Amino acid sequence: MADAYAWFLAWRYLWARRITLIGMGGVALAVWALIAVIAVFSGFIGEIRAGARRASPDLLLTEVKPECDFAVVAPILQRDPDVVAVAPRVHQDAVIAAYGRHARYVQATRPVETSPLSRNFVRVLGIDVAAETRASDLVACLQLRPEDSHLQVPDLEHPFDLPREDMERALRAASPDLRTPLVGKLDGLVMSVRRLTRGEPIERGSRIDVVAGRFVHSPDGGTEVGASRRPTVLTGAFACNHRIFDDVAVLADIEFVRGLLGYAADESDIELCTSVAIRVRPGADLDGVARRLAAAVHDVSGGRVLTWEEQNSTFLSAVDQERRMMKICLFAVMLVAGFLIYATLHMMVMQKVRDIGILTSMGGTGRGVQTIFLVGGLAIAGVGSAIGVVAGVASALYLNPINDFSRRTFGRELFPTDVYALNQIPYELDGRWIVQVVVAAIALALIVAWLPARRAARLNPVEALAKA
Amino acid sequence: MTELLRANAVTKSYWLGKREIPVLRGVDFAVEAGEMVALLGASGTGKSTLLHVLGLLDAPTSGEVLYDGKPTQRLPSRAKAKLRHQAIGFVFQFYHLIPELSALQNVLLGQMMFRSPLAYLRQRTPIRAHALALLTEVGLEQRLDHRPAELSGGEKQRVAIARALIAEPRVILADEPTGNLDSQTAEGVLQLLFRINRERKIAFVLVTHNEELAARCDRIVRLRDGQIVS
Repeated sequence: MADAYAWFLAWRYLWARRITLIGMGGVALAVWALIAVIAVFSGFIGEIRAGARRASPDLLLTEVKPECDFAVVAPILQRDPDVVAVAPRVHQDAVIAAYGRHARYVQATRPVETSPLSRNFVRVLGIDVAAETRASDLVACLQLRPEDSHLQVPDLEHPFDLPREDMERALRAASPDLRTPLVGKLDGLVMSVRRLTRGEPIERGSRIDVVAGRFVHSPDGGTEVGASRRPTVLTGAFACNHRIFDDVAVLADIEFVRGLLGYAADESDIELCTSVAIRVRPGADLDGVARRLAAAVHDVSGGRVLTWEEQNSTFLSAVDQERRMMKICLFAVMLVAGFLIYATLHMMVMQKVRDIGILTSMGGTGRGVQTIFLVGGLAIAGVGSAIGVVAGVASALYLNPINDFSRRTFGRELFPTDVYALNQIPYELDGRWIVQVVVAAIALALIVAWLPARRAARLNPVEALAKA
Repeated sequence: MTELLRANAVTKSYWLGKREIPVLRGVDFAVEAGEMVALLGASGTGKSTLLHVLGLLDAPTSGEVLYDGKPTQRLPSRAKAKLRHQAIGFVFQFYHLIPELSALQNVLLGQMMFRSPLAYLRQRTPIRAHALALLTEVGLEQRLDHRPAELSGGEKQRVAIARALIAEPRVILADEPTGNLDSQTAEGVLQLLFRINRERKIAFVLVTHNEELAARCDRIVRLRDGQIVS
């Protein structure tokens, strides 16, 4: 350890110079930004990944051949020891038109008045609720938060049904534009909370028409476009908090979607599926199982087996890339703080040339003189980091109250939660990251302090005294 | 008397580009323990350079400096610094106090050398008492907490003398210690230096232009053009 005078003088020099506050402020700002921003980004990415995980099965057999028969594929998949459950899915891109409860049908040449939908194009995802419950967590997305309870499906086990009274009311409301009143029951459709709370005035029990197009064989042996239009009823909402999935998908019973495609149970002898959700044993190697399953079904269905991360790879990698870029930008801020420390200490060495000569005449060594300025850099970085850590952690912890205050007072949000289908600004404080940031700040400070410190240590004491 | 410090055939040159500027040209010089030597000479004759070489602040170009009969030029830099700290004190014309520190702290600084922070903290009480006694001895017991900017020239030089004494050196090298003081103040400082020499038996090498001052010392050494002439 260096002699006492080095520590004492380092302390006195720092205390006597206001400019050191600028260096400390720069480090504090950089550390604060690195901790607060990355805490929010990490929380945000955690939410995104959780949403993606909810919306995506462990594995998904997809891009299968046309007319893929689940009854044939399922036993092959289930033969794998790591496969726990499988569920068929059928998806079909469609156009939907929603009718609000008070929508009116106008006769003659005027078009049907429907509720305005900002996005008429959807991907209708047909699922077998019982099988899907075993094969993925998608059905869990039907359980909504209390504030969205008005959109909750009445029966989680039969999410596409309404209680009889509600269904009759829905049928009456749905009938005005039809020449023959609807009877029996309507197929149910579940849309995302995100879609339903973003200005589309449709409620549970509203009629929604689904129009799907497909190519069919024409009598002359060619193909023609066939369109199916089916009235449905909105039975509730789901929320996976996966922005893309929630924006695009609407859920329906698998038989309804098969019917749209002409593969209803009474029309076809195959159990049509366009993809298969697969749940695997916890702890299983997803990539390995995916490779095995793809090989096993290659001759039957073809297609690819994607892990949940591969199903969301573009989305997840985009968000991760954003985080990496943010880290680089914030480290650039830290570099600026490093230059501030360098400038502070360089200036201090220039001003202290005479003192260095005096210390040497009293028995000071080059190492001791070097320590004065290294300790100075260390103190600037240490105090700056401590302030930055406290401010960064506090910012993360109190971000939501601050955001609420900003929205109430200034009408502006620091972080627009609705863009990413989030209820609150998420954050994740990672102790390892905080330690990394502090260590990086201190290491940077020591590196930049070392240059002026070395210069000070190498000063010729006679020249230093003469310059004074 | 025992010989404390000796310069043997010391030369010192500086280089101005490719031109060699000789400052000391074979100086042979010795200081006995407890004596007061005046180093007299005009400006530019090499008095300060000789003082820096004797104080181990600067290395001679050739020749050697011996302390207690032992050569010093091959000592590692830390050992040289320790010798400078323990055996040699400096008093400069322009005082050279550290402006951020009070008078007391400037003196205490000398006792923080070659001590770890913990060792210093453990011995803080006697060290402080020693520093207070020295500042009292030089007549500054009322100015302990004043910073250099708040002290007069004479007071600053007294702090510098106390600082030089704190490590209890055997020789003090004083480079025109009264050169920046008015005559009355200078006389007070000189009396202090002579008293310290007398009472503590510390040797002094006093660089000066002043013949009258030199005459009050035990011995006068005259330097001309980098050589001792008498």
